[in-house]
Amino acid sequence: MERPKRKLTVFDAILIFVIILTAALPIIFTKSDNTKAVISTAGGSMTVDLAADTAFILESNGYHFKISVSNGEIYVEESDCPDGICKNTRPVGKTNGSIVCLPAKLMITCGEEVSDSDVDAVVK
Amino acid sequence: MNMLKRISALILSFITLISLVSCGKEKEPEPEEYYSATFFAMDTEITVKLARRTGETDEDENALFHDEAYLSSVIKECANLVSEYESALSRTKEDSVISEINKETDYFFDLDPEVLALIKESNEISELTAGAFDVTVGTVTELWNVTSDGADVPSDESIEEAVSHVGYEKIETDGATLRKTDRKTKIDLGAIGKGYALGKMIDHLRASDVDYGIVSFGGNVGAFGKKPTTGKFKVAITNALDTSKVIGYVFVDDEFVSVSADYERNFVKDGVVYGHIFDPETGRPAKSDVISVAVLSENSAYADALSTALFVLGTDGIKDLYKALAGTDVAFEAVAQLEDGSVYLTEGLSGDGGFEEYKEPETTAES
Repeated sequence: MERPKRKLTVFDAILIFVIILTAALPIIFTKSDNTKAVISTAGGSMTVDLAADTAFILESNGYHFKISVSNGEIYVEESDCPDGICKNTRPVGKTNGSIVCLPAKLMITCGEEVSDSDVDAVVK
Repeated sequence: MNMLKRISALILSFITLISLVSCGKEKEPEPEEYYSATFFAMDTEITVKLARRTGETDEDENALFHDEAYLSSVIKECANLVSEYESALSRTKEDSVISEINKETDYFFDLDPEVLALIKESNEISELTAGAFDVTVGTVTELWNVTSDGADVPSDESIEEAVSHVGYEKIETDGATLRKTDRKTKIDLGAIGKGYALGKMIDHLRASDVDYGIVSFGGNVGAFGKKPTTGKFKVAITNALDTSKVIGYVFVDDEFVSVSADYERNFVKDGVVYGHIFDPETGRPAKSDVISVAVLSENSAYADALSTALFVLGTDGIKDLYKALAGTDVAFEAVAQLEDGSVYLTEGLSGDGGFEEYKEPETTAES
């Protein structure tokens, strides 16, 4: 049996458009420029200013990381951890998100203030 | 038939789209709790967060409808109010009432009665705190000038000279007249001015048509009204040992929280941190077992002034003053962070609904 040939109709076009739009949504909604990133390691946590480009070496749980800040984004440039997932994670800063290295208990977070969303004011 | 299929496919994809959009928005408070704006005055950052419900909201008490035009005009009024106080109370502005008083003369006439009333109130707090809070430290703060670029430790002689002009009893006020028994005495309202201005601002907000709100004013926070969702406002207190963290939370309504600590304004010389809060007795940065103290009070100026006094006095002073003021209209509660990182609470905060300690989020990471 021969399958009937189908042409693209205007409905198909709309459908494709909607699907593309849907796929692009996460990008639109997570986009936000952060000025700070929080790095938590096995030993404690620190805040990094993303305004100035910099690079530094960090140790966590016996592993070493070269962390770079450039153009308002932070990423792991080099590491001696076994899986290397952190090196392949996209930079965060311009978008919210986290870079995580499980073996080293390292986490770099941008844009999500940990459990403080219900606070009305911080006094300092 | 085909047409029907296509239409239903379209409808389905729209449903997917809508559910995805609502997913993405769930992270933000919905609706926005506050209309907020930030401005700078009195050498600090001031954030005003206001909520005003308009129209019929009886069916859903969580629904907020902000009248942005009205709220932004109210915030503008607040900014004007603060800048008026700034030009009257500033020690560094040449044409302020305080600069006038700090001239080397003994009698002053026709001064702003409101400023003199504030100085009088300050002197009453000085008496209460045995001089741990004292607005006549002007010569000392001027000498150290902690926030300037080239801040340095002054010589012992110059500190002694500056301290000799400190003493709230050297100032007498009567209506619009002020007399200094020591011509060189200088007034610095840095430890009470912001709190006082914040109190006036909250008064203004209470009188306006705003339902509730919260204002951050340097080391001071003031709240008014009731939140429909939680009733009380949750205020986080910064950890003095790691300012990216908090030590915990207090819950307030129609109250003020004021913090005194050294992590914001200080300078470091030879590994020693010199803070901006001075012990009026020694003329040097105050050192007690308290590294940060938050004071809760219904009176904003008192909250501000007492936080400075308690920072100078340490935990023993907090205990004494707490007993002395309990039951008065300037009673207070306090959260003090001590040198070893532990937290001292006054009685009223140690029970349920008082201070909530910050707990590290549990880590699920494994090697």
